[in-house]
Amino acid sequence: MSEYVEFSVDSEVRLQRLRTVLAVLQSEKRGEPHKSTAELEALFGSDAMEHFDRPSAAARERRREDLKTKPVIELPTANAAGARWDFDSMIHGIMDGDYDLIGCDRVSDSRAQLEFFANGYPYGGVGALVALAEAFGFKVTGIEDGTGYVPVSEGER
Amino acid sequence: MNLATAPYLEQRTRWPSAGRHILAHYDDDTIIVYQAYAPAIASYALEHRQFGGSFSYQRMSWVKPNFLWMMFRSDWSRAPGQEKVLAIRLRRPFFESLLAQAVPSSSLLAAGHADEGAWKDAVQKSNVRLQWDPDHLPSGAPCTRRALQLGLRGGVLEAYGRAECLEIIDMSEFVAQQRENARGDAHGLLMPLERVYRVPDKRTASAIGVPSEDT
Repeated sequence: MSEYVEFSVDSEVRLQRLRTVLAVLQSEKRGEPHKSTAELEALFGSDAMEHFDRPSAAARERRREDLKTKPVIELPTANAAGARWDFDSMIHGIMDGDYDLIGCDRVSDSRAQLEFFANGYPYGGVGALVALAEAFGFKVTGIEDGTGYVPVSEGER
Repeated sequence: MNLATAPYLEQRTRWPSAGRHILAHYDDDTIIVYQAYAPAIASYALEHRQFGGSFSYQRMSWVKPNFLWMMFRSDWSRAPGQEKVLAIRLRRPFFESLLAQAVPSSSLLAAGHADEGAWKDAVQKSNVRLQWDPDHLPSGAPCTRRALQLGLRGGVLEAYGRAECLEIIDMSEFVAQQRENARGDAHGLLMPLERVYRVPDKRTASAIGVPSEDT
């Protein structure tokens, strides 16, 4: 059994771009990472890169303080304020996760799954893969992270 | 299962309710961390008293000192691929060396690094990643306390999996026994005795954002 991030597909073009990026990340994850941040940013493209954060030093400090004391679901500087992953953290999160990236396939006309196989638990979390799907404009509709499928409703992310 | 246990309801009165804390089962010399695996990897580890077989030393492997987080994650060992919950006993100096080497997995947590470039450099060089995840109640609901997760790779993972695991304990039977007790108000739930682990080295404690031993 494998785990997956499920999302709604509204563009075959963007799905193909996500697959292209995923293939590169699979290759990087299997061996020593060798692409620079600039190369990876170019691979993602400027529109996808707009989904990642470049917070100011002050915003970074506020978030650090929040992370010390508040649960993720209540972070005023996170989802509620539209905070996003920074690009490097997302890449490192995928590279460091104890899982194999399987692929990205449609499971219906309107949905696809970004599939991975966890080798052990904990494995480093699913957040980076959610950020990857969202970078290409897809809305995540559910997550099977090894503890059972959990639907993600509109506005929850 | 030879770990000392105590009722959850009794233990929680002694735990901090919020913030970053290493809740762990430990004694003067050793500390327990948890991992959950499919039976093949767990059986090898229990039989050989080290990790091997289909366990890969080429990846990053993650460990947690917090029992309830592991129960949340494995659904009390009911989730496929997580049927075997293992408790791994480590020497405290080794565990503390992991904390000292740890680099946060998010640049947003990377206090202590001069800038993002320094953090990226540290991430590339370090064999230990650190994350603070929301901790969980016996029911699985998240709580305001945060729980430590450490990712190990390279030489550190080799040391962890082969030389530094003093004991590997099969928790599966105990977990199955306690599963029903975790329901509702968790009355009757027993779990390994956990206390806040005080990090003796002030610099390390500061870097990972926890109180040090003498605070």
